[in-house]
Order: sequence, then C-alpha cells, then structure tokens
Amino acid sequence: MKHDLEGLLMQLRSVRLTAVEKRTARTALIAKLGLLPRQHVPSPFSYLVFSSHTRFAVAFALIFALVLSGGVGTALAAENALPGDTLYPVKISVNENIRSAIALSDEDKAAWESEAVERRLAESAALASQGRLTQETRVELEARIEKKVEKAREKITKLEARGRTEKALEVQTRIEASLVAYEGLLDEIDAQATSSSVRDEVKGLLRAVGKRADDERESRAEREEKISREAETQNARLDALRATADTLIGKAAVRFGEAPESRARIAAGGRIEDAKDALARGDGERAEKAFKQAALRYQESAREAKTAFTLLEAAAKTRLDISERFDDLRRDDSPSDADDSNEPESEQDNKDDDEREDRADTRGKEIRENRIDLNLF
Amino acid sequence: MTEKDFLAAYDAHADAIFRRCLFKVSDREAALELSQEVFTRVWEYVQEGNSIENMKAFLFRTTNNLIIDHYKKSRPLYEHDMSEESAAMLCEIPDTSRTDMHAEMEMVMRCVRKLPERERDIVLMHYTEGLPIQEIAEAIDEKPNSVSVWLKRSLEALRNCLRLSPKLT
Repeated sequence: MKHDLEGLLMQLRSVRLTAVEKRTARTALIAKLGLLPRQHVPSPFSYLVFSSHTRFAVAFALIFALVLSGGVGTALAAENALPGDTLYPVKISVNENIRSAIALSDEDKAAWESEAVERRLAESAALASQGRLTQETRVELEARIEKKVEKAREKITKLEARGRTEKALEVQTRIEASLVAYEGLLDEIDAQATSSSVRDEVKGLLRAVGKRADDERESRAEREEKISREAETQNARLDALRATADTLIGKAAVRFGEAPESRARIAAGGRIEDAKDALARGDGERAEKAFKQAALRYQESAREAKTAFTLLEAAAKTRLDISERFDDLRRDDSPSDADDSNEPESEQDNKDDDEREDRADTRGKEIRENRIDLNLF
Repeated sequence: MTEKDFLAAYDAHADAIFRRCLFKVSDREAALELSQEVFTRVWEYVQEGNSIENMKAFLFRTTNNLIIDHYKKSRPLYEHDMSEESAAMLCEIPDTSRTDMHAEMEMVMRCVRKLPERERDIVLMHYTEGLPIQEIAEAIDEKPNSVSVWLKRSLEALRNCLRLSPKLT
C-alpha cells in the first residue's frame, strides 16, 4: 500500500460542502442570526471581485425569506438540483429568477447571464459524470446554454455600446473560460463513460460546447484587439489590464495551492504558468514601448489565469474521479511541473483531460477572504 | 466574541462540522441542516454572554450533542447509518457518482465503519479533522488517557482490517 493509513484518513477531508452549499448556508446563517456580512475593504478591483457577492447574499436572503415559510431548505436543496430532478424547476424558476431580477445594472445582468451559462455547464457535467445524461436532458441543457449565451451576448454588446469595453470583455472571458474548462471536463467524462448511450449524449454535448467556445474565442479576439488599440496610448488602462491579470493569477494560484492533486490541477498549473509568462512578456514589451502588444499579453495572461481558476472550480464541482488523485500523487507532487499534461492556449487538444475531479477544496479560504467565486473575473 | 470572529470561525470550521455530521447521519441534506443548527446553537450560546476557549473543540462538542439528540428524536431517518452502503454514501456528493470514489478510500471507510461508534468518532476527529487528543477528550467528555488508548486500539484494528482487504496489502 503506497499510502499510509493516516494519509488516507486525512484524505477524507475532501468530503466537504460544495461551493454553492457553503455560500447558501453561510448566507442563510447570517440571515437567521441577524449577523451583518462583513464590509469589504474597498479595492480598485472590488467591483470585479465583490459585486456579485453582495448580490448573491441579497438574492439568498430573499430566497430564504420566500421559502422559509414553505419549507426549510427547499431553495437550498434546489440549488443542487439537476435537470430531471423534482426541484430543478424551483432552481430555474424561483432561485434564478430572483437572481436575475435583482441584477439591475447592465453589468450585473451580464455577469448573471455568464454565471447562468456556467451553472448549466456544471449541471451537464454533473449529469454526465453520474451517467444520467439522456437525450432529453442533453437537448434541454444545450438549449438552455445557448439561450444564456445569447442573452449574455446581448448584454455584452450593450456594455460595449456604452463604452464599457473592459467589462464586456470580462464577462465574455468568463463565458469562454467556462466553455473551455467544461469542454475539457466533458471530454474526460466521455473517455471514462462506460455506457455507450451516455457517451453518445456526452459527445453531442461536447460538440455543442466546443462550437460555442470557438465562437466566443473569435469575438473575444476582436474585443481584445480593440482594447489593446485603445490602451496603446493610455498608461492607466495598461496598468489596469496588468493589475487585472495579476489579481487573477493570484486567485488562481491560491485555489491551485488548495486543490487536491488531480489532472485538472496539473492542467490549471500549466495555465497559471502560462499566465505568469504572458504577464512577464507583457512587461518586457511595455519596456520596449510596444504598448499594444503589451496590452494583448496582459489580456492573454488574465484569460489563462481565469481559465485555470474555472478549471479548478469545475473540477471541484464535478469531482469526477478521486482515483486520479492517487495516480497523480505518485507521478508528481511539485505544483508547477505541469509538464506534459496541459497546453498553453485555450486550444485544448484535450489531452487536457485534466479536469479530473477531486473536490478542489479551496472553498473555505476563498470564502474566508470573501472572495466568492461568482463572477470573479 | 464578535460577529466577525464568529463568521471567521464558521468559515474555518463549516466543512469540518458538516463532514462530522455527514459521517454520522449519511444524509447530505440532514447533515447540512444539522451543521447549520450547530452554528446557530453556538452563536446563541455566545449571545448569552458565555465565552468559548477553544472554538473548534466546542463546535465538535456541540455537534456530538446535537447528533445524539437527533438520534433520539429521529431514529428511523438514520437507521441506514450502519448499512453496507454507508461507507460509499458518505463520500458521495450530490453531483457525483459514487463509482468515482477511489477504491482505497472506500476500503478505508468501510473499515472505519466497522469500528465501534466511539472509536470511529475518535479516529475521524483525530486524523481527518486534526483535533488533538486533549480536544477530543473535551468534545466527547472523556479522559485524554482513555482517548489515547482507544485511538491506538482503533488504528490497530483499522490496520488489521485493511490488511485483510485484498487491494491494500
């Protein structure tokens, strides 16, 4: 036996609350006990990091107010529901409608739509990994994903029209990162699936998600180009782009550090390295006064870091296969030797089967820092 | 203790308390409700003006008491607690199929499940949650010496159990 008993017992710590459970429970507790959520220290990026936390808290306070009378925990339970579950309609029609309704600004709306895309992707991965993906649920999810992506696009266009190009790109990157991360994850599920009917459905879903990811990549590239042209002459914007990348790398690194060993973690590690690399190259180009290039690099860096983060999160949510952890543990334990298993660009020629699950822990810390993962581009 | 401290304690220990409940009741929803109840009770206790020296040990103690209450009240709900499937159920999360559970972990859980309840609690509190002997003793109201002996004995039992398991030798 390669792992000692104590080590295995310690591994049981991977049994924990999901991010959603923890968030929901915390908010419910705050509401129930009349505690005030802590005030965040304002930071230049607070709108990037915290805005949806507050929104989320309000939403759940509302949901709880609504549901407490009807039966404790319904909305809470519904948060984990998957298509085909009894509570799924509650999740879609009650919980999410409230979330959507309290998103007032275009920024909030866009952020919510991108989160909704991610929620649908998480559901499809969960169903697939449980072997519960049927033609019916796949078609339903594909339609929902498409609808949410479309809605998000509308909001993105609106933001852009109002000159909020960075925000538009932020939302778009989030969508792309989710699509790319879950595409890899689905691919892995496909490789592991034992039932051929499930496999067929997963493959179908994979094609749809892959196509969406390609679309996003294209329009994202245009947006990045535009921002880079604008940033070329504005030092402050260049600074902001750099700071965003830097923040995102930090977040991804924290989560990486806390995630249990898995293929997803290795892949995420590779992306984090790429993000750091792009940041460094951006600095180099800036030093040589190639400002537009530098802007592009910073954005690339932010995107890689965001994708790494999403990957870790997707892996934690779906928790495909703990066994990988053990294999990986044997293979390597240095965080950054992401050598073989992942590739830099979003081009996942998915051997990127990285997204293996373990539940990346992380949650505790992340919430401790009040950096709820929603929308934390 | 301020609200801030309490929330920090929540953030730090919510997973451990949830796990503790889940290991006891093998039902995710019930475990979630129970762990919320634990924090509610502890906060009420603080509000009454009591001070808590060791938060983690106190949380575990409250959890144990609550679980005992729940056992009394709702026996039928947890009857499946000791069933064959429990080991696997334990580690199941709603959106995962348990076939993904690593065989080694399952094996360990199966063996842990075979321990007498008190021993099982001690093993999990010590090795999984990292509680020192002294704090476990506080949490379950026993002498540290006894805890230490039980722990040793349980570990031996676990080793024997695992040795018998084909995959782990």
